Amino acid sequence: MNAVYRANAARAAARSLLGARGRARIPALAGLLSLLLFVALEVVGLEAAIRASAAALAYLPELRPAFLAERLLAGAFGAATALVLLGSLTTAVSTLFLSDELLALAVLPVPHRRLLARQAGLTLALASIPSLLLAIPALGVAAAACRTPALAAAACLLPLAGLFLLAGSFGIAGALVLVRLVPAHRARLFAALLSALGLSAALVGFRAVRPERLLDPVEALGLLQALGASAPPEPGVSPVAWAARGAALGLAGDPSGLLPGVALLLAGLAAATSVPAALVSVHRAVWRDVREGSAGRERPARRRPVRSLAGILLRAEAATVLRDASTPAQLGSLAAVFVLDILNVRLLPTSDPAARDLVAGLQTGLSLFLVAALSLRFAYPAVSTDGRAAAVLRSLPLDPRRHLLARWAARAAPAVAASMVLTGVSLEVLRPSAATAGAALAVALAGGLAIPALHTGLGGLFPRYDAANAIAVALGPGGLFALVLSTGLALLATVAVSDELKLLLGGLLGTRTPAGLPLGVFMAAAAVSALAPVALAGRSLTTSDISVG
Amino acid sequence: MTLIRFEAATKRYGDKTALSDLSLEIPAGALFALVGPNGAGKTTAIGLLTGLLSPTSGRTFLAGIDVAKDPVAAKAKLGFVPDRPYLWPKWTPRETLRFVGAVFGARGEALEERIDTELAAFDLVNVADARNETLSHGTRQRVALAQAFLHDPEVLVLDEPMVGLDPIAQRSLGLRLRALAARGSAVLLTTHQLAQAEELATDAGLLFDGRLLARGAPGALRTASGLTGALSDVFFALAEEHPA
Repeated sequence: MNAVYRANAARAAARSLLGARGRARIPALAGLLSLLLFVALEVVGLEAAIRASAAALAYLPELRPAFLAERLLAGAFGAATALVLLGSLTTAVSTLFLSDELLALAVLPVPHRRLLARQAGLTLALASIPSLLLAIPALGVAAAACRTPALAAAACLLPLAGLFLLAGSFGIAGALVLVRLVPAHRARLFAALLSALGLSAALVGFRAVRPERLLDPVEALGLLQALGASAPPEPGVSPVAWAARGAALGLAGDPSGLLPGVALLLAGLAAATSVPAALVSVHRAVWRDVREGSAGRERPARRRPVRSLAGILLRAEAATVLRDASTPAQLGSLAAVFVLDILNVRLLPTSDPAARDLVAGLQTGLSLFLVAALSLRFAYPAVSTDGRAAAVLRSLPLDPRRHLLARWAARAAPAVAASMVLTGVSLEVLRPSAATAGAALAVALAGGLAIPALHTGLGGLFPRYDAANAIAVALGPGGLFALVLSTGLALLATVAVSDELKLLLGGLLGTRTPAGLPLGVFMAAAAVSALAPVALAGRSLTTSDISVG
Repeated sequence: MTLIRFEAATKRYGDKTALSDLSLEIPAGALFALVGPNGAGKTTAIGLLTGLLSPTSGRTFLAGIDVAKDPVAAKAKLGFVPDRPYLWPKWTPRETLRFVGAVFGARGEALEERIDTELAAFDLVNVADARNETLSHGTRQRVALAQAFLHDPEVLVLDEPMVGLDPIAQRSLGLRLRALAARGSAVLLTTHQLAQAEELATDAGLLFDGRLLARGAPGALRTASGLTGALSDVFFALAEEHPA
């Protein structure tokens, strides 16, 4: 693509990220601030962890920091590579086969080889962003703590880039194979399902190594000795292991650590250029089949006459959510997280009444955080998923407030069920005092009702009718803002439930907190965060100008 | 009886005036064509009438109901076809019509029968249960038209309705518009195609740079301008007299 095209694309991306002007910029700025806050927390946390590790290792001479660093880096590089592989697999189905932009570019006198290379590059970039966001600050902190920061940074970033290029190229090739094998209209769903299964497997794998052992000093010491007293195995043919070896050497100030990184980067660049080049003809043929196979496919529908307006509104919401190709995969991932949360419950400390009270509060907060994740995906985009049909909707004699209520109701029911089940299971295991249990259930109910309302309202206040899909809406700056607010509510829930946390808070603030005050504050916050955005969105959707063109 | 009324309606975006002081009344039984070049303010005028936009000043009325003051009651009189066939992508044409019909108060088997009638009228029976996102532009346009006709609206507003339709569908739509107007509804449509406006409309307004330059039956407009040609000649003459 030429420079004008790239400049136009960059300007368009900036416009969609920052919004037009005025109110449309609020979620973008809030999202940016949230992102900066996240990075700051990551940096501060890692710096503290490095300082603590340095102090602790002074008392453990049998442990070799280089061994620990290499094993830690191998885990981190492996996880990041897996994320990029799964991300590129899912993204490539869209960018290589279902992209309107590709369709528009294909009629221009541009060789197909260049088009595919361009889409492959876009896929790699999009799939790498989440991992880069996590990795860059962490590697920056690690490099800054070394004697030779520039060498350390290069030794970490070169192999990381190489791994991302390799994983992304494999993901792209996998997407081509997938779309070749699976009927085109199901390919995106299958790719998303594969990604969800991969992430679920990773979560279960993470659970299987029992990270809670680190909370037990004896077990933690044993784990550290197992990881830090003996040298890691030779990398063999594993690119991840070579990346970790090179980065560990670089962090230790050894310039030879650059070699694996350079080799991996060259291999990655070779894969990133050769995979699209080798698959040009396959892509051209499969893409043609996808386009020709996407004509209307009808299946006689059941006749389901309308009985009430509320019924048809709920039915419409269900159709929109359930027919989204990514929904099963997203629900699968969330279900895996919920199952892990419940599996973890039996490991909770139950001997000490104070610990039971404390963990009951934390578990309630965690339940609401998981509900917030569910709600971010399904409630926040509720209004935006009307897409350009919003113009028709606005011309109908339907009060937007009533419609918002239906949108909320369709999403609040599963949210309440999830928060009550997760909290209820924790309470069943923990058996805290009756007052704590009652507060936890009340908080779970109120939070389960309030969080979808908060998200539905904010999504209606800042709709994005031009977004490609619901996930793009949820992951946009406004969605990040909504997640920050709902996470705040989940944090408040922990204090509202646990007497131990109330005491701790009182101690930190230097005041005696009345027993019922945090619960009252939570209920008030839940009510305000539910009602205010919905009321504002109802007003905005009635009176504000709508432009969907 | 006046069914569509603009009362000194003005819409500004910052310094730009998209529509200036539009006053217009369209009675029951009229088939009114609002014609003008790109950027003349046609879609803005329709936006004000359908509640998509709020006027900077002035008011709009549907069947005597102020659109800004009582939008739900006003829109209950309205059928609307936007400039492009915006449909819920994951729904089918039948589900789209069912949703729209239910919002207008229709229920049960009566609604299902009416949906079947409109699907047949717009030649949509074969794609009734396919998802909207899989339909061609022309087919989606027919779905958008079917949903606007579904409840026999007192006021029908169509923004460039002929775009994307084949000649048979255009002719069929013209007949339905005339029939609706003959039953006492008011029809307001915008078009770039002056010949089409002349053929269809009983009344026309020439909009240019946000201002209504002239209105009247196509024949009357010709007489007033002193020209004898087609409506397009009148339009071009007025456009030259009022440069943007």
